[in-house]
Amino acid sequence: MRAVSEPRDGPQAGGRRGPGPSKFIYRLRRAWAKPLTRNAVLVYLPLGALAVAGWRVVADDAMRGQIEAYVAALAERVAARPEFAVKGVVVTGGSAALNAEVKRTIGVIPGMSSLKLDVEELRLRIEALGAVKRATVQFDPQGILGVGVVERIPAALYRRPDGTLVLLDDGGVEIGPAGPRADHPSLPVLLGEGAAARVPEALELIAAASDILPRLRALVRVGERRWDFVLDRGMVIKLPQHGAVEALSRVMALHYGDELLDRGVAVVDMRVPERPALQMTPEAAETYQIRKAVALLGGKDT
Amino acid sequence: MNFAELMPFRNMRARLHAAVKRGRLAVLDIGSSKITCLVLKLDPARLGDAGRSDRLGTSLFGAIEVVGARTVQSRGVRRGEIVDMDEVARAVRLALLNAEKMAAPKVDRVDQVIVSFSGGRPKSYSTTAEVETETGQITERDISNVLGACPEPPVGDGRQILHAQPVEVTVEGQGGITDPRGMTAERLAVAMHVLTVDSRPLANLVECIRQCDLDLAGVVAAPYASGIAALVEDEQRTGAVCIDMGGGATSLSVFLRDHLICVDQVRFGGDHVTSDIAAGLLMRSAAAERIKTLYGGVVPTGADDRDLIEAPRIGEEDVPNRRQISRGMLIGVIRPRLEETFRLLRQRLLELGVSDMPGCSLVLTGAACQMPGVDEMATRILGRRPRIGRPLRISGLPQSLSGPDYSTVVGLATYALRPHDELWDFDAPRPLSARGRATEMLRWLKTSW
Repeated sequence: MRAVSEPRDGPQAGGRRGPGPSKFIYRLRRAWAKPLTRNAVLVYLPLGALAVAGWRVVADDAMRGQIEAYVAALAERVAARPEFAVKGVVVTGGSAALNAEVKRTIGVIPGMSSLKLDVEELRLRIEALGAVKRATVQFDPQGILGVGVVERIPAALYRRPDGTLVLLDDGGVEIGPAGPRADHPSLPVLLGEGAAARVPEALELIAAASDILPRLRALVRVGERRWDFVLDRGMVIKLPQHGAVEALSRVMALHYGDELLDRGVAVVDMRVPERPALQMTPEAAETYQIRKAVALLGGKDT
Repeated sequence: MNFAELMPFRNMRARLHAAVKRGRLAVLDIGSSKITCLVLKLDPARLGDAGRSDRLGTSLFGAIEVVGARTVQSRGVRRGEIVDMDEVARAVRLALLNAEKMAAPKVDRVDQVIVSFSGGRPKSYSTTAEVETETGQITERDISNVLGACPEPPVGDGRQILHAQPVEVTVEGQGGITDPRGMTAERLAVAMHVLTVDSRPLANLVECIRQCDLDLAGVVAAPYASGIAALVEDEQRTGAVCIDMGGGATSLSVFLRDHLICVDQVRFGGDHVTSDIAAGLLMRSAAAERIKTLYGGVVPTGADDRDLIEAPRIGEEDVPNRRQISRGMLIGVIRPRLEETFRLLRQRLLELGVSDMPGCSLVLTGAACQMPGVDEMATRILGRRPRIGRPLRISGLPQSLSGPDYSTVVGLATYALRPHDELWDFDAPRPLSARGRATEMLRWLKTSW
């Protein structure tokens, strides 16, 4: 059938029609204008296909194993590239001995892949060293592993119950074993149970008694409660639990006024601050008795 | 009036409400020379609560926005009637797709469409009826009864109703009632304007829209649509004649007291002028259309004989020395056809009795009224100075679509906004027994005590 007025097959047969979309194109474009259709084709269909493909992979053990192996091999290949190799380790900030020790601790073989390097774990390992207070570990693009360490400065010695000496920093953290006492003449020695944990307190006391430091032999923690100041010649200053620094300052004031600590005193007992007591040495006590007797006899001391 | 035949119109109204609820609607003016499609974005909240309070819907113009517009050449339409359905459907598809493309970010896709119908020999009838109210107070039932009591006009064979609007409600002889519900009255009268058209071209139009997969949300007579767009509110109230000079036909619509009261058509339009030029000067119709729009005129002037226009004969479009004619000659071809058109219009207006209507303004719209001198000719023949009516501005309307030739399509857009008072917006009269049982019981109680 053909339209009544339509020309027979002539050159103009197709060209006579006006512009406009065909019915099929029109229906297609109107369907596309509907958000539901558009979303279905652009979002839900790809998502669905992806989900089906994903499920197929997850459900099939062999395929999953293959993919895992492939991914692992790929990761390995990438990690092995020379761009990722560690070219050297530079440790800065500590003493030479410490730097060497840190280097030993890191144990990175030059040439290993930096992708396998766990910088955070490395930092924690370095900070686990007693002598290291803080460490920064960074990997620069040139392939150099830079480690910056802040060293702990020894502030005191601690004599353990078994007799060995260890170094402590000003926070009371153990740095490491110390050699003989003579190696560290400037550091005070702490004794007694719980002394290591109270290093800041001990340092405060030492600062308050800075003038008698050459005579200081040790600080003894008594009963995990209070300090004893042990000076040479067996002289002991017993300090109270609370207000130890004030008590020590009073003792120092007495020393400055009356040279108390140069006299024959065995124990200065400040444990009860309201009632300080002195214990003389036996010799001093003897001298005192003689003097007293001479004074009683009205004689003059010679 | 017979309410039983109105089901298709009620369905169309339901589709229009659906479109308003969804907030998008397309309007389509299928004219003889161009097909224009507008995609509208509607604000359902504003349209919903305004209701029937506004007679002209002018406060609602802000609730629509034109988001897509496209005009394409119309092929396969003659005198407003479809002669090649495939071509028209193709052009409608092109216009709609392009308008939708322009509207794409704001509106997804439109399914409901209001279409204009400019052919079909429109004929107006007036019919009146008067009934006694049931309770002494006017209810919706009384309104249905009086509308049902209106005698059916002699529609004729092969013709059908396109518009049927109650234009005048009279309560006990008092006219100018806008809403009679609740008024106390013994007698209620109504005058109705019924517009009928040939049913065959209308069925073709409906089929064409169906072929484009669109839902028809309304068919509006093109003169009515041009009138509501080109006439301002006061003109519609005090009375005005809108002459829509289209390509295939020149139609007139008469408005009074906010209502369309009459439509008529003269089957001469701008295309006939073009074919006169083509036939009289032996030219291709495209060339004739070109010199008509560029140099055409109606009123001769002294300079016309010196203005030479290139008017190539058929077949000599590409040769160097083309024929040249004077502008006076062109005017001489154009003028008789337009004069004839206006004389026919004058005759129609005389027959309708509109000519002696006092205070009736005359508005020319449509593409053919843009020809210089048409208003002077109208003044001379119709005896009244016309105004060139541009469509009212609705938001988003492109500048290129705001000329007098786009009145119809803008009118279709505003038609969607107006409160609808066609016959099919009222309930059909029902016998008393069809009421609900509870209502019946209440009525009995009320009347007994």
